[in-house]
Amino acid sequence: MPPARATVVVADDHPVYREGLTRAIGHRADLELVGEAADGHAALETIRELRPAVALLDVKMPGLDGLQVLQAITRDELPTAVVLVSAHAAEDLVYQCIAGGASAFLGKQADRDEICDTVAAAARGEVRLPPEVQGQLVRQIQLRAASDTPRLTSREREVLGMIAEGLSAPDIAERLTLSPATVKSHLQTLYDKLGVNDRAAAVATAMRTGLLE
Amino acid sequence: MTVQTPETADIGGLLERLSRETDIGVALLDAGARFLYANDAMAALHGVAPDEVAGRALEDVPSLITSDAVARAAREGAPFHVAASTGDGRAWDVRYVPMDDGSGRTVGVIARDITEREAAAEALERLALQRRQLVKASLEAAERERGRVADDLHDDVLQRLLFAHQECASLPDARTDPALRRAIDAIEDVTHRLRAVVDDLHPVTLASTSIHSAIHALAHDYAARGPFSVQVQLHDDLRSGHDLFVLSALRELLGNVAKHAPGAEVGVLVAPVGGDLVIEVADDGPGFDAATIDGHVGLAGLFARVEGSGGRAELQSSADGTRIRLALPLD
Repeated sequence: MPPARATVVVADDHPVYREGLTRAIGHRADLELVGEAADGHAALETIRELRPAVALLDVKMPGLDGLQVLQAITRDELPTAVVLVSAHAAEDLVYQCIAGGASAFLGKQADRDEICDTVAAAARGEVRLPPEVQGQLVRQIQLRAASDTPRLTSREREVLGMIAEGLSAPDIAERLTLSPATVKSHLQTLYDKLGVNDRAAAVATAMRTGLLE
Repeated sequence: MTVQTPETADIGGLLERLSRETDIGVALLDAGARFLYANDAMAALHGVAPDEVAGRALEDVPSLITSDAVARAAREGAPFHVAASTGDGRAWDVRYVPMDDGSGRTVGVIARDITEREAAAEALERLALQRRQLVKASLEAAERERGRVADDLHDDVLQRLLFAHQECASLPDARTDPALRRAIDAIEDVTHRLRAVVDDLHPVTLASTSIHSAIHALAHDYAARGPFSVQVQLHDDLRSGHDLFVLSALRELLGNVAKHAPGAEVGVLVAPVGGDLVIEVADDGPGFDAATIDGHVGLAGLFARVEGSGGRAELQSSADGTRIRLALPLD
C-alpha cells in the first residue's frame, strides 16, 4: 500500500502562477492537491473546510493577505502547516511570517521542485528556510534586538559627550567651531532621538542605554 | 533771480503748498479733536472745502479720524496706526502722530488709501494658497500614479515572469542545454531589474510590509548608491497617514545626499514630535548654499508640498554639513 499523500491547498491571486503551482503539485506522488483559492478569504474558508496538511499561500493577495491567513490558522489551531511564497521578500515580512508560525518562506523565483519539496517537508513537520531567507531572518532578529538603543551620528555623540561634561550650548559651539543655531539644532535632534526634553534627562537616558559610560 | 537759503525759505508755507498736491490726507487737530488744518485730500474726504475745515470739531463732520484716537495720541505721546474704512468700501491706513507744539498737544493725522494694496495682498495670498494646493495635489497624484504602476508591475508582469522562469527551469534540459540556460539567466536578470524598479517606484507594495521596514530598505538602498553610511532612527509608532509622503521625501533627500555628499555619514530620523511627524536627514557632507534652493527643483517641490500641507520645512547647510527637517501636522 502506497504511503498516504499529504493534502495541499494552494492560494494565489495570479491565475497563471497558481496554475503552475497546482500542476507541479499534481505531478508529485507524495502530494495531493485538494483545493485552490484566488484570494485570502476563500483560502481561509477552504482550509477551514478541508483541513489540509499544508497550505501553500502567496503573501500578497486581495482580501486577507497570506500573513493574515497564517495568523487565523495559528489562532484557530488548525492542523495545517503553512508555506508562504512571495515575489517580494522584505526582511520584516519574513520575520513576521516565521514568528507567526509559518513552516517555510520562499521567494516566488524558487524552482517548483524546491517549492514542492518544501511543502512535503512542512507536511512532515519540518521547517525549511533557503539560505537567503535565513540571512534576512538573522538580520531582522539583530535589528530588533538593537532597536532599543538610539543611533547617533558622530557629531551628535560629540555634542552628547560635551553636555555630559557640563558644557553650555555656546561653549559647545565654540569648541566645535559651529554656530549656536547649529548646536541648538543638534541638541534638539539628540533630545528627539533620546525621547527627552532636557540636558539632564538626555545624559541619564544616554547612560542607561549604553551611549555614555 | 533770488536764491532762497534755508534760513530765508518759508519751509512751512512750502510744505503746506506741497501737501495740497498729494492724494494722501494730512490734518492737524488739537487735543480737543478740533481741526487746525486739513489739506485738500483730507478736506475732500470729509466733504468740506479746505478753507472751511479749520476750527470744526471732529464730531461735526463724518470722519475717518476718531476723537478717541486723537485723545490717545495726545495722552501717550507716541505715533500709531489704525486701519479704517469709508462707506464706499475703501480701506485706509490712518496714522496718528502726536506733535508737541509747546502750547499743549497737537495731533497730526496722515490717511492713506490702501484699498489697492490690500486687494493686491489678498490676491497674492490667494495665489500663494492656490499654488501650494496645486503643488500638493500634483505631488499626491504622482505618488498615487507611482503606486498604481508599481502594483500593476508587481501583480501581473512580475508574476508572469516568475511563471515563465519556473516553466523553463522545470524542463528536463534546463541544466544541460546552454541556450535554455541563457534564457533562464535572462529571465532571472529581468526579474531582478523589475523588482528594483517596483521597489524604487513604491516600496510599500505589500500590505504586510511596515513603514519601518520600507524606510530601512530605502535608506540602505540609497546608502549603497552613494555610497554613504546611514543610521536610521525610527519611533515605534509612525502611524500618520503620511506613509507615501515619508517615503517620497526620503527618496528625494537621500537621493540628494547620494548625489552631492558621497562618503558622508548620514542620520535619518522619523518620529512624532509634538503634534507633528518629523522627518529629518542630516549629513556631514560639504553642504551647499541654502539661498540656491530654488535651483533644486526636487527640494523646492518637496518644501512646497510640506508647506502646502500646513507643515514646516527647515534647511541648514554649511561646510559642516546639511540638515533638512520637515514637520507635517499629524491629523
